[in-house]
Amino acid sequence: MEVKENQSVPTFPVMPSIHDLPNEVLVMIFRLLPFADRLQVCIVCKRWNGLVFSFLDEHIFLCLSQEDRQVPKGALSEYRTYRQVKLCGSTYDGLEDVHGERIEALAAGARSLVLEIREPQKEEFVQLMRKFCHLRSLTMSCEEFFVVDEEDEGRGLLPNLERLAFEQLGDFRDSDSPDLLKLFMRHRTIRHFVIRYCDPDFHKIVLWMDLLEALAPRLLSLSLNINCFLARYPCEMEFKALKVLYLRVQFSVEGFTADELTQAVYRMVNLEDLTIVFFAMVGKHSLKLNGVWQMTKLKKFIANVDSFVLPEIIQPMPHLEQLSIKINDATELQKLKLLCPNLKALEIQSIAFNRELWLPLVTAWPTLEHLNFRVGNQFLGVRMLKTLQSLSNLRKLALSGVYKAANLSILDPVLAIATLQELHVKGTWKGSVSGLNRFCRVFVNEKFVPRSAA
Amino acid sequence: MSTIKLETSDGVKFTVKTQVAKCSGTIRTMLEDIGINPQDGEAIPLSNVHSTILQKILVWAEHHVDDPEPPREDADAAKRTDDICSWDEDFLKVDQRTLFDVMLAANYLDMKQLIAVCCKTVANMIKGKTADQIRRTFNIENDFPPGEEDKIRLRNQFCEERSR
Repeated sequence: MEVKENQSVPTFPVMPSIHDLPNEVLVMIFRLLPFADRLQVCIVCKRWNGLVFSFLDEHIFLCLSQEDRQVPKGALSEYRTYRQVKLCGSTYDGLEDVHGERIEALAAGARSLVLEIREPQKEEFVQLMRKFCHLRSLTMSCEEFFVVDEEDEGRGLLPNLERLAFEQLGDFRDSDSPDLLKLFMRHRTIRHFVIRYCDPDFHKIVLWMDLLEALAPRLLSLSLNINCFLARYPCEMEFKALKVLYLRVQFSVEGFTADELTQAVYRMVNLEDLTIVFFAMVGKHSLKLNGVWQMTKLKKFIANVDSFVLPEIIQPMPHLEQLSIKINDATELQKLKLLCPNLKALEIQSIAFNRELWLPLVTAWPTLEHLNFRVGNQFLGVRMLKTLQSLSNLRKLALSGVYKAANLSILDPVLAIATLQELHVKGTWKGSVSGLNRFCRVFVNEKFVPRSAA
Repeated sequence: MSTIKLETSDGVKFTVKTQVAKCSGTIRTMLEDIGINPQDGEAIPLSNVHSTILQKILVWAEHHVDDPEPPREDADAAKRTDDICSWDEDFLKVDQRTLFDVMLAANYLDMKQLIAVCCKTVANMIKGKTADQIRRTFNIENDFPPGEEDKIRLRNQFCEERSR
């Protein structure tokens, strides 16, 4: 459509190379690469190394351990800035002896820190936090904890902290520990809070729930792994802003029912992403979770509970895109299709699929992108797998059954799906993966299987 | 149908449909915000773009002029590189020199969709290669001091992939 005028003699442009691309464009390219490729990219040249480590830090962790002295001499960050650092050791002093210089060089650039210190001491903790002054995320995994006994000592620490996580909470019976909590209670910036695992005795320390209560109104995401002693406390709290909730509760004690807790969950009207893991349920009555199907903003729902039934009255949830549940039979699969017509990701945790169930499953949601289910060992074969090709948007497939002596070559029909990027299988497999769809990464028992050179 | 004129770095003038030219964020801004009036017959100077490249880019813009606005992509979807449409794939079957020229111009002209599809193309050229193979593919000089590359390789052992 364009018309040329003034035909002058075109002078040819200077020959450009990949080096002429500006940083932001190179970073855009690197962003598209998986982790393994990024590590290759960062040893290509100085500039690429710097770019990978200053812009694409979200997947890269630097781990410094007190036990491991084999780190190359000198500062670790000649061309790099590490945003995510993990420090492991028994005490701060021990860690300082081995890596003191490096920690000094890294601290100010770090945005996320994982601390695995068995016996942290209060002064050292505050000192270390002063060095890591720009942290957005702090994760602690500590068996004992002695910190800040004077309130003022920790004032102004970590002004930008957004995420606070406790991977493991051990012996907190020391009277000092509440002061640590006061330190974080004053924080107005924390939006994400995690308690990953707690000691069985942990329930005695209700003060931790005071910290949760102080943070609750502003939290956007919460991950709690607690027993039912503590579970009654969050029921009384207000989580108005909460969008993401992971709730793992051990119902080992009678006297507290899941209903109280689920009612509290239904009140979180802004939830978009909900995971419920209830185990050791006392009484064993089936969990209905009826309120979940009324949540109007929910996009992702994972239910891992001992027994669970779908609602009797089906009101479609067109907004639900990701679902992981147990179902009991084929009729429930039909219900599920009516309930969640627009699923993009589905995991069926329970039944093994046989010939009768297979086709209804693969035809129910033709636009499915992620699928994880179990096929009975005796049904797994080329003909069955070929029917998966009707899922033309499939990007990730996991066959969660444990298969015996199956040959990897039977996966060929699945690899023929052009969009597939990840394929996960379990069990004992023999043979090798064919050269089909080389962009798809294949994992056997969660271990990456490289493609043969051919 | 309204048209505007564009003038490239080597002085070649192109008459282009306004709608096609507006695939470029840079030109859109010039027209809408700065208030350059195309009716004056004045050509908009594109001092960083050569005529051979602009011609190519206009072919792309003409083909994609009616594309809907792309949906805001989630982080997961953004990592895909296998979803280049076959027309674009053919369009970008060019030598590296032209490819990078197109990318530089697309970046200057602020054409997000074109940059995105070029980046996917380059990412596919990098995927699965060793550092040395990448250097050879793009003719990049290894500018690490001797031994430094091995040190970095060693340092990389201390890096883990963050599980999300």
